[in-house]
Amino acid sequence: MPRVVYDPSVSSIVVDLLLEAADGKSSLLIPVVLDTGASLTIVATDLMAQLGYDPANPSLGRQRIVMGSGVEYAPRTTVRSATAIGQKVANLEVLCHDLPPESGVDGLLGLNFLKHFKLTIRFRKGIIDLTKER
Amino acid sequence: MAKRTLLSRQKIKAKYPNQWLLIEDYELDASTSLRKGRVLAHSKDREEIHRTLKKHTGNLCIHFTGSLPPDTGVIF
Repeated sequence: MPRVVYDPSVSSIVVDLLLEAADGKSSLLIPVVLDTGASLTIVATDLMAQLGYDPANPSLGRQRIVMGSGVEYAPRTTVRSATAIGQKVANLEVLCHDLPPESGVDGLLGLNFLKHFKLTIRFRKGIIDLTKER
Repeated sequence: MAKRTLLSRQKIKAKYPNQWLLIEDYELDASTSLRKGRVLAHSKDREEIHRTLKKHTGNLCIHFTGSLPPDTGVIF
């Protein structure tokens, strides 16, 4: 069973997210916050460009996002695949948006990824299980 | 040029505390977590690592070995 063990004393849960490049020939692993309060997965804009997704393309849809700091608009694109906590989702929608460096992450793992699975978080023990629903 | 040493996640954290890293030749465990890799670049500045990333191709990893100060909360 895919399982991540983390330090339960930390203030946010960080996991690794593996993103497949637009051409399918390479990938990039980045740190993201597991965020059940985020409806969509977010990745730093320049990293999406590095993966060949062209977030500056004006034909991309822009998503209105309501964050703690206010309302913003961010380009929305689809990555070939995203893998985290041992589970893979193909054709995942991702918002291109930058989080502050102080956050220690390059994005958020949101509900549009997590909703494909059964997510169990044992907060006192610091254990995350992500399994396919039967 | 000689290849950099392949280091475990724990050794990477000990050698480069509280830094952003660019890593190549990485291996993952069954939970898609970094297990080991070769450190290409390290910096306290995330943007420097993002800039360095643009000079490289292939399967790469960005990793942060720090953590938030205990008196800091996060709300996105």
